[in-house]
Amino acid sequence: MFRRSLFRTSPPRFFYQTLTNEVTVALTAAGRRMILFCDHPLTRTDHLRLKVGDPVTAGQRIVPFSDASAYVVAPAAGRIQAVSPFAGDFGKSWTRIDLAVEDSGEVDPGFAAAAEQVSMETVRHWMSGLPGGLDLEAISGKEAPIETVVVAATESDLLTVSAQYVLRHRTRDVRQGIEALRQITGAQRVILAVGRDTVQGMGHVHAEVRGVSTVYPASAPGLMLREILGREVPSGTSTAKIGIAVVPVEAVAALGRSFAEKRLAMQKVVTVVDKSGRQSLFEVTVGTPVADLLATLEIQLETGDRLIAGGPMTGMCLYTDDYPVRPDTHCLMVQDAAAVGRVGSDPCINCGECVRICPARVPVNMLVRFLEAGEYETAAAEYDLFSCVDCGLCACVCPARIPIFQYLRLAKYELAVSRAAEAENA
Amino acid sequence: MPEAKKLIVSHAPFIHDGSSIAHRSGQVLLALMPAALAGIFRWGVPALGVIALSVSSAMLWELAFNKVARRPEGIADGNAAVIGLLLALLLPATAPWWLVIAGTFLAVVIGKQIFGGIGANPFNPVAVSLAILAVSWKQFLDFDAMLLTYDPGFVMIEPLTAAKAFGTEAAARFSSLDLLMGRQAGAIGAPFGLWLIVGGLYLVVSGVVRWEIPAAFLATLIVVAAAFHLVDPLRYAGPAFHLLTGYTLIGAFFLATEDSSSPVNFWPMLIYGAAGGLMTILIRNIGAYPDGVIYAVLVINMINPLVDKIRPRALGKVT
Ligand code: SF4
Ligand code: SF4
Repeated sequence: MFRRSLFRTSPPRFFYQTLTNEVTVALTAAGRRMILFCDHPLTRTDHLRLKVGDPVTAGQRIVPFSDASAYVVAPAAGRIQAVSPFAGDFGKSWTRIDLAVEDSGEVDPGFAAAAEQVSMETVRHWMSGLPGGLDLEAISGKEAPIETVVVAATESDLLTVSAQYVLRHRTRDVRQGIEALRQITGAQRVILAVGRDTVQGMGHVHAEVRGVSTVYPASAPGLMLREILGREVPSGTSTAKIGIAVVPVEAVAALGRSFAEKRLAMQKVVTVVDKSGRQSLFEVTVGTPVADLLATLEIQLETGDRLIAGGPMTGMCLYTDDYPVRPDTHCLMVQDAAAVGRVGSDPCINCGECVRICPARVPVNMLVRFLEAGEYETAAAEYDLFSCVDCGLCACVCPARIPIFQYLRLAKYELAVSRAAEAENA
Repeated sequence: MPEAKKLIVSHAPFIHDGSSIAHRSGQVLLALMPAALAGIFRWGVPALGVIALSVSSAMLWELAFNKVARRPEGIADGNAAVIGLLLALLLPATAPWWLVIAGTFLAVVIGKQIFGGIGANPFNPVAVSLAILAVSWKQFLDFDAMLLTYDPGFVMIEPLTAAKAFGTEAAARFSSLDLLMGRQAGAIGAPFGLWLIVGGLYLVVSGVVRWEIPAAFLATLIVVAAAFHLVDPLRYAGPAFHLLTGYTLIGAFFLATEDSSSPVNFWPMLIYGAAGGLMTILIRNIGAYPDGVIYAVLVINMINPLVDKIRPRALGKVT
């Protein structure tokens, strides 16, 4: 995962994992229970239209609130078991819906009818929870007409191999997804971005194939576009702004399959990394509890362990394994209590390790002073906060063990909040 | 429901390369060891006494200040020990005890803590301390006077003082090999060029010190010294002499590279180092002091925030 030269005159390098035969592939976990997250806070119940005990059919589009358009699609038939609020990082809140699965064989016809039309309309109405993580805004073309679609078959973090697995085993779905995306976005150009070590043999995908460096974090969109297209995304904006939609390969495959089979694809590939670093690949329905995956592998969680959704560099700690596989849960990782490092209380010593490892050339040593002081506006205006591609490398090499990465994310969040408030008041 | 295990929740990233401030300090102490041992071997028990007193008093000042100022204790990070050892290696073996204790006070409290502690000092604490000592108690840093009792069997005149007074003729009495091996009058550790180079290179390859700073410092010092020597070979000693005398090597590898007061970007490091080499020779050749390293280091510390503004354009920034 990470290599350091004998002479430490250059920063260490971290590498993405290549999918090899050593990885146990495609286990499934039969969930008797599903957990769905609806992107709307459950603050008051008078607009809630769901009741415990309500039946749902597989593929049913559920709109839980009478005053909000947020929806979830039931991955299986069953009964509503519980509806509860869920608080995520940075004040984000969802409504969590627990579903007891009952196989009735009945399938909701709604999507089949909608899928006759391959359009943004259909995508928006049905696919916000598509496996792989589809950012609807990115392909909407709202900011600028989409000229290029980049299908990212690169990994999102170290240790995960999910995207490579999808590309290798769902090639037909990917091809169909690319066609659908061409139709939806009107993009002239479709590029398949794959790790440089697996670039061979991708001719049949019907897209231009480009190799991306395997040194982390080359697949961060900002860096990847610079590498494969020579384009830089102006800092603080999204790739959509320059007419490029970056779509994860798994979302492309799910999109293709959904339209081809007229049935919403719900299978998600998850790399599970156990305490010894051994990887296993799962193909499970989005919404399957993490506990089911761990049980399949007979992984025991002990007090003091960490359970991480999303990989060692950018992931998020879970409080419990009673949590679902979500559309963007590419990786789950269990870390032993003994491997859990400590955060320091030391101040920055200005050693510059962070500056030298930062792929976005952010002056982290200066930035961190302003972040600690909460001076986010200065951080953004003078110390390139928004050039940061959220890779976490700086925090990884900091000898003072400052939680730099958390500071960075917090600062971006705080600025987003205050700017949204400003826009509203203007 | 099965009994719930309490999981640890923390922030990404979940891996770390294992580095720590204490480890870095340890590496610096290790790198200074050869020169320190050579110093003890050469100057005997008095040198050992100064080193022990300096390291321990530096650590005690750190402890005391943190207590008084109610700051988190920083003694475990090893930085105070590094300051103590470095200061000792710059003092004569016969330095009186109170000078050592005053020196560590100046370094740890005045040079570092009042600015906010480790990482917040704009100047190298050891250089600050030595500069004040040299002004306040000049006679105790006069190596010729301080080392009168020693007769180790080589020319016991401080080379830079001799060269300042008598020009190249005096400098010619010292062979480069002697100077490199530390057969010269001087501080406890600073004269041992070979061991300082070994220690310095060790720090470079272990990633604690960046090569850019010492390389630019020494290269510029050599070039400028050579230029002076060319212009007036009788008055100005040659580059090898300047390289191997005074605080040059300890300054280039250990003083100028102090993290907090030095730049982190590539070009700034080169400019900063080069300025140090240039200033050293200017002070030595046309300034009032025989050795200019301490003042050169303070000057480059001062320009550091300015130079370090030169940095590459960040990703996605439109100028
Ligand atoms: S600032 Fe840190 S997290 Fe952001 S791009 Fe640089 S190294 Fe990565
Ligand atoms: S790596 Fe940590 S201690 Fe070093 S300059 Fe960056 S923030 Fe400061």
